[in-house]
Amino acid sequence: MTETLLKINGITKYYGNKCALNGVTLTINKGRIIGLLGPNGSGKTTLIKLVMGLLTPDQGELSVLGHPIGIESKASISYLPDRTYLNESMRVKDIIDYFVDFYSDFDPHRAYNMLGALNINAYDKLKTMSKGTKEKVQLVLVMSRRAALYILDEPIAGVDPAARDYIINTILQNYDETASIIISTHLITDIENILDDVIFIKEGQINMSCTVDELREKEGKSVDATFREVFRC
Amino acid sequence: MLGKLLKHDIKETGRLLLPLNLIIIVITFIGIALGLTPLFGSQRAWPLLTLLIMTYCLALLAVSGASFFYPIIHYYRSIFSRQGYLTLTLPLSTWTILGSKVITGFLWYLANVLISIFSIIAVIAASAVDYLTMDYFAEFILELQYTSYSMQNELGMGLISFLIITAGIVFLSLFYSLMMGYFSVTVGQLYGKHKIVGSVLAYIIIYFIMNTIYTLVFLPNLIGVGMYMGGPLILWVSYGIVAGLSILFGGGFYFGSGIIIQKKVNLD
Repeated sequence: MTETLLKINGITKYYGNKCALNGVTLTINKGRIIGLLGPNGSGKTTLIKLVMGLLTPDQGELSVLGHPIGIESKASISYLPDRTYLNESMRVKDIIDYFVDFYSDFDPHRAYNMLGALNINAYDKLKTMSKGTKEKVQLVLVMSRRAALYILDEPIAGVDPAARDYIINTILQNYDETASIIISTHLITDIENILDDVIFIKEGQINMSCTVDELREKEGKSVDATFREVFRC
Repeated sequence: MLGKLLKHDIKETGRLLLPLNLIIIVITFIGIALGLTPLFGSQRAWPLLTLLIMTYCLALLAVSGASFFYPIIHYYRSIFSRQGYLTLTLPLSTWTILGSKVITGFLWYLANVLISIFSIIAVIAASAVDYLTMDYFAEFILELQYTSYSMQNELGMGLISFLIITAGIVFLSLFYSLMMGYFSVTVGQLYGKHKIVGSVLAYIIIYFIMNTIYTLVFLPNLIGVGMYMGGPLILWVSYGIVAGLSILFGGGFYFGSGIIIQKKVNLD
């Protein structure tokens, strides 16, 4: 029996007069890897921010494992924003201590192992690191939690192909199979093979939501080819 | 969880404010050492003394300024800049996050006030050490007792009670000042792309409005009390007004900030 992890019901969000999301309804079950796909400005990040409690919806409801967005939902989600968001004056070790303090599901041993494999010194300050290394540190922190849901906003944007492979492998090797992962991106080719489900979002509305197998069978094309067709300018 | 966040907030703000306040303590000890030398008795040393006193005052002002603004900058950085993506997605309520920032800022304000008072008293006492004989102390204690007795008659309380109440008023004023800074920064986040300019503008506007409210509340009360009742009641009315307005507006700024963070803020 599939269990519901994330339920989004009729969510609408306005920025001033501009409608960013319009009546979005979705259900995410446990144990799935989902691609949240759409062009820039389609509403992906707004949807993620609403799930993370960084925005308040104008209409509709969201729940994670039956809890409304709040302390319990945030404790269940491991979130990687689409930017560097850590305090750059801190050492990696201090940030690990910070995560240990606030996330009961954070595994520091796993974090140190991953840092060691990447030759990242935990005593280095973030501000001394390259952009790519900072992104790896952030991914290490996010994937060192044993969360029910991982939300990764553009995890492979702006990194070289070798780093992309590393990031995708890190994601696959470090999540619990009862957990789900939502990956927001428009670089579909790189992640197509790992996705179970896809959600196409266009102009604030869900354009398509199905399994990758269903999409390939129905459209007779890859996810990437379907994306290019749906979002053709 | 509040304790853990508080630990991290104090550690983070302490990176700048702890060394700065330690500098004041070091300067104070240098001032005490200089005060104990014959330098203060020599007229030829006055230009040097003037320079030293000016440097001391400027250092006190600079550290006080940093102690005032840095908690507000930390509040902005940790909640509304990119770091907000971490802070606001921690499994904590908005009120816990805000409460930690308020306690952190308040502790630094308090530390700065106490260190400044200690510093000024210590430097003055050291420079007047030649006059501080046992007879002088005895006279000073007698003077304090007399002052306390007079205050008891006029204000209905002794010197110590008066100092405790005054300290309470200072605490409330510190809380109010801090919350006004936090609230201005929070309101500034609603100004689209110009959030820092918005925060500064919000501070200036709120400062002007609050000064107007204080004046409108103070003047009629003080004139009324002064004309018809007079005497020490003016002091209690002033304290009452400052305490009442500080609690009312400080609390209002606190809840206003929390509600705006919960309902309106959108991190870039």
